Amino acid sequence: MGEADIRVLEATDRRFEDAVKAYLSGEASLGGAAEMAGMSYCDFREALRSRGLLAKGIVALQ
Amino acid sequence: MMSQKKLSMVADTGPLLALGVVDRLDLLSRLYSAVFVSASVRRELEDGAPKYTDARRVMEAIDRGWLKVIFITPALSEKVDAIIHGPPRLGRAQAESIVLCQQLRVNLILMDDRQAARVAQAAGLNVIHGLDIFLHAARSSMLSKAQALSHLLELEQARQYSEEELRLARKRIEQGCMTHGRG
Repeated sequence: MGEADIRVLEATDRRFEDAVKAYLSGEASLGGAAEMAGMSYCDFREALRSRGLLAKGIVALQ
Repeated sequence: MMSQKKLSMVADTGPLLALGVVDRLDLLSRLYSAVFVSASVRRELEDGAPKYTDARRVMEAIDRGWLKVIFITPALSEKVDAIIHGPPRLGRAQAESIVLCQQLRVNLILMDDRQAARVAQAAGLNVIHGLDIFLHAARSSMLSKAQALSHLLELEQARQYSEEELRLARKRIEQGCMTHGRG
């Protein structure tokens, strides 16, 4: 893997992390955060689910 | 008991996927007279279908006619864009779901996402949580209590909802009540 590839991966990771932060902080919905991350809705949802973070931004039953 | 048989709703992607996880999308067509999804919701599901079983099951529900895909009229596209930009920032499919309610004059929206649901409520819509479907199905005798609780267990194992949400949903199923019409 070359330096350019590593830079792309790092940028992708940062974008994903920023999107997750936006989702968890309430700045963005799941769909909005997925678009921020440049990921499909289902891939982003799965990434959150697998980390146990999906339910954090879901409406609380009242 | 209030009957929802004649009601129509618009559904967002998240709760459809959750229903796909337990393969009970049939409940929607049995509980509601019509369930609409926006073209962007369909696109999200189509993108996910090759990799995810839940998305594939929702696409099958569309093919079976249980969910009807509706395009947003060009006159309402600016409204969609305004909702996307927020704050909070929403996804296009979520924004289209909210605007589709207005386009179709439908007052119910099936939506789990906290931020998107708040925007929907602010727009005057009644938000139905995905777990409400199991509660309502149990009340309508479409599911036994044991079946409904079994689906909640599947969703817990699939980490689709929080422990607190599932605990409350279980309690309501045990008690035979539901949370319909929140907002």
